[in-house]
Amino acid sequence: MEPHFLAKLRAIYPAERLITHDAGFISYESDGLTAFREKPIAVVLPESADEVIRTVQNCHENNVPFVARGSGTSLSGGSLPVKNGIVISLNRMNRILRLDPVRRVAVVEPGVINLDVTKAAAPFGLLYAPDPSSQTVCTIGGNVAFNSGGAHCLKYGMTSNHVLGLKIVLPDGTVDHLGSDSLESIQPDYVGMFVGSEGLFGIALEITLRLIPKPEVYRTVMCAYRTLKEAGDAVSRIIASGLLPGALEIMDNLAIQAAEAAVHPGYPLDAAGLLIVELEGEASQVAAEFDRLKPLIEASGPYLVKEASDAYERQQIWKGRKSAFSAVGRLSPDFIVQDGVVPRGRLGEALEEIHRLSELHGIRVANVFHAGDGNLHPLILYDGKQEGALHRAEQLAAEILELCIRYGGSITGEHGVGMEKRAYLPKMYQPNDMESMYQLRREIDPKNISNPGKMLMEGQAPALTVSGLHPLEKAGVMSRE
Amino acid sequence: MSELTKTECTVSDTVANLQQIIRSSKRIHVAGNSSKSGLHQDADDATLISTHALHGIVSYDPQEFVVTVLSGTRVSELIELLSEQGQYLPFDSLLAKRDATIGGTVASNASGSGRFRFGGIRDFLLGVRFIDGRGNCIRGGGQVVKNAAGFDFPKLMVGSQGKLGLVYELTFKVFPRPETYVTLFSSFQKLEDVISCMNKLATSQMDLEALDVLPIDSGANGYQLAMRIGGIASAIPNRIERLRQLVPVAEVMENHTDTEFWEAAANFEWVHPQDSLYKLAITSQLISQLETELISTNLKRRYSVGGNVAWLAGESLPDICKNVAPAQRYFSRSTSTYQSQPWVAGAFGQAIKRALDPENKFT
Repeated sequence: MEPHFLAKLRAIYPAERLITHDAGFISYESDGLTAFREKPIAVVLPESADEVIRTVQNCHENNVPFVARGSGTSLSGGSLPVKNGIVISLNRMNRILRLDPVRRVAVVEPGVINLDVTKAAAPFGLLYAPDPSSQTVCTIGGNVAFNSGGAHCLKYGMTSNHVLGLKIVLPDGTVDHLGSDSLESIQPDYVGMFVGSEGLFGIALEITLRLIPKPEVYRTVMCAYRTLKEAGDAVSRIIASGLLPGALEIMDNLAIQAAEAAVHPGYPLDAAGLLIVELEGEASQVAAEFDRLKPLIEASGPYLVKEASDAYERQQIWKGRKSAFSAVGRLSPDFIVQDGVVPRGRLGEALEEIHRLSELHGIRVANVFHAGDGNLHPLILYDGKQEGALHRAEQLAAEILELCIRYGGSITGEHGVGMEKRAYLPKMYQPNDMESMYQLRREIDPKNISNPGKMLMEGQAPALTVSGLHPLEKAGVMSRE
Repeated sequence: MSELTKTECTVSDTVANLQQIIRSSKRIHVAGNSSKSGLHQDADDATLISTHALHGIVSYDPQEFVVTVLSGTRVSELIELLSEQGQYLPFDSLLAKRDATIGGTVASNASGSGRFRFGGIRDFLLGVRFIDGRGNCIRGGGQVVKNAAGFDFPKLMVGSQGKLGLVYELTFKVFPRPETYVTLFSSFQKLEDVISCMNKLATSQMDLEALDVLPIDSGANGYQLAMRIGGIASAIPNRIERLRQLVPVAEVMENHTDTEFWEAAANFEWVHPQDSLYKLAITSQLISQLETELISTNLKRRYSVGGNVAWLAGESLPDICKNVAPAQRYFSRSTSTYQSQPWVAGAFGQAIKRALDPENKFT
């Protein structure tokens, strides 16, 4: 079958856009979850929607699984190749097809880089709100597949809150159009159902994104605390006060040390917890909000409060935060990034429990998290060269996920289930809920060829291998959320 | 947490009963309090299931800004509960005064003018529990404000009109309610001027809660632009001043008059009791097309959410409107024969329907 199928691909792609040799697979074998690796039988580099559609049709006819891939920044192994399958690499489909400042929408191909949407919208005073830390390299197609978040989800939501329309190819090669340019709809929210389906429902070919006006002003404050709990309590106070910040982030000492060493944002190195609060909006409203924020912060007992005095200082604060994951790579050869969510009122408890588990297992854990959303990002540090270290780290990761479920939260806030957490989805949902997901999967992809083995347990999991930083992280090109 | 802020109720018997009815029925039609009667499809052979008995707040933790309610709960009750804590659902639920239920609000995607600022129902619904066509109880989403685990059933249920399952429990994230609101009005003789002004404001850095266009005397005397701002009281005068620099403000409404104006809008008090009401999902460019066709008719119009929704009310909807955008009939008290256009689900929608309702029970 394979030669016959490859001949079909050759009819679609010129030689330079069809990779079938081992050396060419290296950049596609893994993604942001470097602990997994797998070789596909081929990688295709389509340049048009038509080529993707024909490829999917061929896969369907020949029962060949496919994995769509953008820049491969998935932290849950979402774009890991499938054995005996192909990778459809969408980076060359990177055109912004339409940018309509009046309707405030951008229609883009899946390979467009997240930050490029905002760059294109900037001359019109608009921006694309979701801002994953990998936004300089991650693609909109990947953001759509995994419903990516970012530091600024608190006020405006995740990717799915910013996608209005989609042109998709279903796993059998059928093309469908969902949604429109309008914010409203008179149909079920099919767009919302597709976003975050982790590639199991097919591939997005064109994506209509909602753009919003750039806030008039930002006021960004950094507060340093002697204990992590104080930082967590400050978040609870701010949320309970009725203020609605654009972002509320916390980093612990390990993460602060790493970020400071990597990009020198000017973080206080002795802080046990660093809180970043950002207000945004109309100048006079933000000024009034700031007057209310100040006493709240003072009452929360920080030993240092520093407001960004200009755009550069704001950028530095965020640069430190957004580079924190990669920076932790300086502290440890390997690490696992977690993405659990707990109710915001239980943030302090959850952090204490993570600290306890960390000590119990003798494994260092750095914490960087979207505190305003209750979205934790414990970074579990280990050395993959030590025998059993990965296994022990995974054990701790499992206990943290179970803690999130026990607290009534979620196993993932923004990275998706992917390959990494699929064993935990049935712990979060009941058998009936899981069966309903499988029923959807079977109706939409009866041949089980569209990104099989992600989110839902099916197909074979590849063996774990020793990891390390993503090659792009090593080169300083990419950061993780 | 005090008893007042958190209540619990058990509904397992009611749900088990409904599961049984769904399993034993061939055709099912789900309704709440029928405040949007126009969405009913004629199906004589269908068993009518009302969510009326599914009534109450399951849990509400104001500090968490999350509330879980049963689908038959009246929107007015939920609004009141939240407002006691200074919180709200920012999408301006429709028809609260006509006993709309929260389940019906989700199923018909009934967001109002306030959806302009922070998003619609889809953006605030975190979790659902529903009974599918097999009679199974399914939970989708979660109870925390951020969650990317599993397929997004909550979003799918928004606008599903009871055709993909019977939703019995809903979890929303809620927001702190702005302490003050003010609405500014501006009048324009020409349609192109009001649209251009609306577009200018929608792309500006002014944070508007709502932005609606109202034809005056059916457009014969021009158009009114309604702009609502909300926030901290001390900042409001300056924000009004800023808006005045952008648009010629004719009138300012504050306090009760502001509240009443938007409540009247959300309850369609401008619609004649004998008339039918239709919703069209549009973009601002389509307004001029609609106005060209409708200015000489007695169809009442209101363009809402910065030009993303057209509400049309009258005896019946001229065919021309359907050519502009698909229309959905919300309610009708006359004997209008116009049927809401049935879904024309594509391959994706059809596959979803087959998965959740294989015997096509929900009409």
